[in-house]
Amino acid sequence: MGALIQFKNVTKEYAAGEVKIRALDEVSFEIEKGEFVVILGPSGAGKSTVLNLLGGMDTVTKGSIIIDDVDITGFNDDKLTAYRRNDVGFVFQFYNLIPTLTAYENVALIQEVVKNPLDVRSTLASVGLENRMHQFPTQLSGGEQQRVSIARAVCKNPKLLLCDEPTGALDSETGILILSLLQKMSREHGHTVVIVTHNAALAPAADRVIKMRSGKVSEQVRNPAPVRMEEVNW
Amino acid sequence: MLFKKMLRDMKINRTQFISIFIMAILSVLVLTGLHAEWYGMKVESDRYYAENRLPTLWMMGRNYSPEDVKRVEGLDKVQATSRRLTVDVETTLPNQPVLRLNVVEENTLSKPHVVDGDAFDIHQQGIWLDHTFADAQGLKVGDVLTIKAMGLESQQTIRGLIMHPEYVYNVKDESELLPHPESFGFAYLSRESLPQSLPLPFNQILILTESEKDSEAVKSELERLFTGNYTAILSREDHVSVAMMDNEIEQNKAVGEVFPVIFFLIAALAMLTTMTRMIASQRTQIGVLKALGYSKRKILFHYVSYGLWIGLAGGLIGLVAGPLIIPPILFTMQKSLYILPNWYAALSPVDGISVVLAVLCCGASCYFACRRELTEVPAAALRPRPPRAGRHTWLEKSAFWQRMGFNRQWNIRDILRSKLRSIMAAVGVTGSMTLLLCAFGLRDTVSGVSSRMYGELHTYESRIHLQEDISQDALKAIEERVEGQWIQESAIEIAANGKEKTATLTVLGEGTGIVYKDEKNRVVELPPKGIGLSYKMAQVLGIKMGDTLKWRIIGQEEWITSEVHTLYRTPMGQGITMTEEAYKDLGKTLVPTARLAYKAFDQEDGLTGIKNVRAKDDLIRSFNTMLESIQMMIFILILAAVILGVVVLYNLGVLSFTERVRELATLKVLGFFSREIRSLLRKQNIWLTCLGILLGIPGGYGIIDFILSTMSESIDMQTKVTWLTLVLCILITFVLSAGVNFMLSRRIKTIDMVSSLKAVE
Repeated sequence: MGALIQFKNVTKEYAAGEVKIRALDEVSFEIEKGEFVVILGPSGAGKSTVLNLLGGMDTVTKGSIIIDDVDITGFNDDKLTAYRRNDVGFVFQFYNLIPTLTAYENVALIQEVVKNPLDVRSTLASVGLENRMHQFPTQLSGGEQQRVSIARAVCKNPKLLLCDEPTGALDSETGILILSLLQKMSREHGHTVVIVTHNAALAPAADRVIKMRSGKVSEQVRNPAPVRMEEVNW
Repeated sequence: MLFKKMLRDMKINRTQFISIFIMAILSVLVLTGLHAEWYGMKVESDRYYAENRLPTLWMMGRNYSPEDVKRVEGLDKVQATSRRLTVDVETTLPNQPVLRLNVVEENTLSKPHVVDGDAFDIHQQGIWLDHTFADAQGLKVGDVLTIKAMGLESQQTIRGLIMHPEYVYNVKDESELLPHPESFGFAYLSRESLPQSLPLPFNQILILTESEKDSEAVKSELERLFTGNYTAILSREDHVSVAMMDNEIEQNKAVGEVFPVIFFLIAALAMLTTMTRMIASQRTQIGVLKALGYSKRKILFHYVSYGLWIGLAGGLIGLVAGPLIIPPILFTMQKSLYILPNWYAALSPVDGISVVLAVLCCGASCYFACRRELTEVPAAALRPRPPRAGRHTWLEKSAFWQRMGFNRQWNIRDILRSKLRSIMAAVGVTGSMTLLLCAFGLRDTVSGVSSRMYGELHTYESRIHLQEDISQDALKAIEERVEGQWIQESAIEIAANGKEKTATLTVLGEGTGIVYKDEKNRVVELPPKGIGLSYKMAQVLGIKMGDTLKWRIIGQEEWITSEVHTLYRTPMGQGITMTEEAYKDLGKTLVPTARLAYKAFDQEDGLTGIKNVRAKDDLIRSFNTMLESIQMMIFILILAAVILGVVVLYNLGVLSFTERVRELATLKVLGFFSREIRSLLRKQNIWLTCLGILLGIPGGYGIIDFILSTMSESIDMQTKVTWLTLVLCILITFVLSAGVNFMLSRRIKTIDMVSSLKAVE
């Protein structure tokens, strides 16, 4: 029984026209169950690529990714979909809510795909939206939309919660609120949370920090005593 | 520089531009193609009539003298006259075909058109023969033909093969549905070929009035002047061949005008939506151009030019291709029925207008789409248009909503959110359903005429036409040997409510050969007194049951006033029908023109006085051949409807797909399987398709009704669409719609989640 997530010598290449771009170059790391992880790095370092591979939205060129002792690198489309469906929750920079569905319905959508989701109402309540459940996304502020998006991800009760620059489109105050919400979720439910960001200020709040540069892991730090998000100095 | 941008934009959005291009081509092509067909026939027949000096009036009598001609020439508005002898003669050819022989005093009016051999000359010996007749009989120029005319057998050398403006539709009389060159033809014989001693009874005076309009006035003058000295005076509209040709042109015109209009409407709507979306997707670029300092007018012009170029290119191709493709296909059928010297497609100014319309359509849709984006300040235009909000709908208040499940909620909201797109999708389906139903339904309706006419109404097996001079003994022999019913059919004029129409009088002896039904398809009995009037004739004349009308047999002076006791509906042969009893009541006796035999009749020995026998199978076959020309047109329309349907639906599908790509990617990331997303889209597609089909059904019926209403007064067709046809049309539409949906939903697999979700543009 190894770590929950094992990245082993993962290489990812994109073909841009005739030129091949190596987004990831022999990346290896491990993440334990229940950890709150921050992947740090400047634009183009390959952070999002790591997240996309972890989430089963993309396939590797070389190497293997082992999640809960299962190698997902050989998965076909259907298996990857099933993996996304059952094990992964996503939070995006631009929320990606369905504009035609209300906040409640956006979360309830999960019931269509997952066998044992959490209760929709209480999940929404836990992100502080019990009073705005029946609004449509466009009627909500950016922070509120992101909270709906978190509720949607958490409601699945996933093994993995993946967040791609979740505060990128928000002001810092709202950003802190969102991040502390994520941290709280992680602590309370024991979710494994991976956040991709270029904001180094978040590092002290994480259990583990993976720093990336030019497609490689430049540094891995385990943080034995993470601080609470609210105490982070922005 | 902007031109370069346009070309690149077209390359990037090629699916949309190609589909707009195809729609522009198709709409102009169908319009000009169908138009050029009938217009070409009209131009050619007008030219033919003018060049060969087709008379505007024919006065038929017994023997007209040069003095009679002088009297006619003395009338106002008469331009030219000519005496002619026209008589049906026998030949020694096998199968005893009838040859209608014409001998003219001078070759000034109604001149034959020589296709082979010598020019027609009244001073040369010999005969000029109908070329279709010659073909059917295996005769060539130079062969010798033996004819029996006026008790005289004479041998004539064939000098030339001819066509004739009076024989464009080459039938012996109205009762023949189709030309039968193996049993009937015409010929021109020069005066020189007959012994000078033989007195020639010129039984026709051909009259050319100054214009066709004058013919009515001259006709009534002639009726006054020659009272008792004529059997019939025909104007062009009474002339079988001329009337048939005009009818054909009118029918083609009706179909050719309705279909392209629908086509144009659908194509225009589709172009409008496509262009609107295309330009909406250029929003930020419009913002950039504005920020760079381009004037509004320049930007507007730039985008309008997209539409103008496409419309112009498509329109011009359609304009050229339509007349090249469609008329030749339709002409192949027409040629077997009508004989014209030339067949060509003719363009009229209307066709040019259709190109202008196509260009305007494309241009205008660009203009409106672009103006909307231009009203924003550059700063706002630089940002993408915010996604349109979902809204709570009245449906949600109902108890159903919560029980509906995500699929339906999503679909209902999605349809309501993008109303225009949804409406267009439904309209696209409606359009192809309408066209399909109309095309197939027209076929049903037309072939229904034959089954109604010869299946339900005319129940006899064969029709034995009698010679005019048949003896009483011969009649008696036929009555004894052939089980059946006597029938008299005569040409009549009906006058009522100030209108005057030529029609058919049918007098029936005892028997059950023909069944009469009213407009509700109930069997009606003919009354022992008074007359029955056909439904269509009653409509044309504005007559109800119980009204009276005046009628007379053509060639007779006496007008008879009768009361309409029964109305019956018949596809063909509009006019008056009465029983022998009622006819006797008027002091007249039934003079049989035919016997309707209840059993199949083979020419038997010992029976004389028989002109010809038509088995019902022959009648049905003739009728069906005639319908083939309509079938061809229907085939073209179906093909066009299918192409249009696919293009419109695919186009709208691509649009709605690209608009929703982000949502679909989100669903994919959340773990929806491709097949689940496909079923989601399929459901919406099915709803909209059903809606479109429901709207298309009355549309199709309506257009058939309209086309039938433009048909000639002698034909009374009832819109009839069989269940099978309806199901077939629905199926085809569904297959089209589902096929397009399938092609599109395959793309779901290829949605790149990573890039679609990354950021907004």
